[in-house]
Amino acid sequence: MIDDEGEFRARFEELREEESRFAPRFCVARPRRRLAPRRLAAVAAALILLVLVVVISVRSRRTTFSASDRAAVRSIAAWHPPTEFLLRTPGSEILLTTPVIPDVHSMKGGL
Amino acid sequence: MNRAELEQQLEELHPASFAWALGCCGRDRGNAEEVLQETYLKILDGKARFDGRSALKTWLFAVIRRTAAAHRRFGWLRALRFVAHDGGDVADDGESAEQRLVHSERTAALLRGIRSLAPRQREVIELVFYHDMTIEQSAEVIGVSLGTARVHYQRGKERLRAALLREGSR
Repeated sequence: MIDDEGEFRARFEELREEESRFAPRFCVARPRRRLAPRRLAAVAAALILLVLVVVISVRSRRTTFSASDRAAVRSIAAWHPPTEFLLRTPGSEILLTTPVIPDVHSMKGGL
Repeated sequence: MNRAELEQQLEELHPASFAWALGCCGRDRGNAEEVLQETYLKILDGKARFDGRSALKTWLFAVIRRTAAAHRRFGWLRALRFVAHDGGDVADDGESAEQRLVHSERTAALLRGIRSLAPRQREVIELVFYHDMTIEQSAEVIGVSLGTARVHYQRGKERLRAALLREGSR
C-alpha cells in the first residue's frame, strides 16, 4: 500500500542504489566526431541522383518544335478566309487608323 | 572557481549528475553519458557559467536538463547517423554504452509509474525523492515558480501513488 512519502523515498532509494552501480567513472573527454564515409557517400549519391531526376523531368517537360511544326504555324498565320473581302466596307480605313488631334495653338479660329 | 576546482566539484557530483541525466534521457544510458559529456564540456569551456546565485548542484542539474532537451531536439539528426562517434577518449568501464540498465521488479514498477507522469511532474518527483532536493530547489532546476513546482509535486505524487497501486493490483 502506497500511503506516505516514506514509501516513495524507500522505493527511490532502491532505484538510486541500483542505478549507482551503472554510473560510469568521471571523465571529461572531447568527443572526436568524424563523418562516417560510407554514409556520407550514400547521402552524396542520393543527392546527385535526386538532382539528375529533377533535371531530366524538367527537360522532358520542355516543349520543342520541329521545322515542320514551325512551317505549320506559319501557314496557319498566313491563312485568310475566302470571305475576308466582305469585311472590307467603305470607310473601314477610319477604323484602322488613329486620328491625330490637331494642336489647339496651331488652329486659326480656335475651338 | 578555477578549472581544477570546478573539475573536482563536478567529479564529486558525478554520480548524482549521471542519475539526473538518466532521468532526463528516459533511462537511456548511452544518451545520458553523451548528455553528461556535453554538459561537462559546456561548463569547462565556459559556455555555461556558474554565477553562485544558487547551489552548484542545482545549477548543474539545470544545465544537464537544458542539454538533454537540446540533445532530444537534434535526435533526428543523430538517428540519420551522419556523425560517427569515436569513443577513443571516453572512459571504458568494461560495458558498452548501449547496455541496458537492469532493474529489479520493484524498481521496474516504480519506473513504469514515473513514465506515466507528465514531464514536469516526473522531474519534480525525481528531484525531490531521488535527489533529495527541496521543492524550491526543484523549481530552480526546471525553471518554474515555487507555486507551479508545488502543484506539479502534489499532482505527480497522487498520480504516482495511483500508478503504483495499479502495479500492485496486477
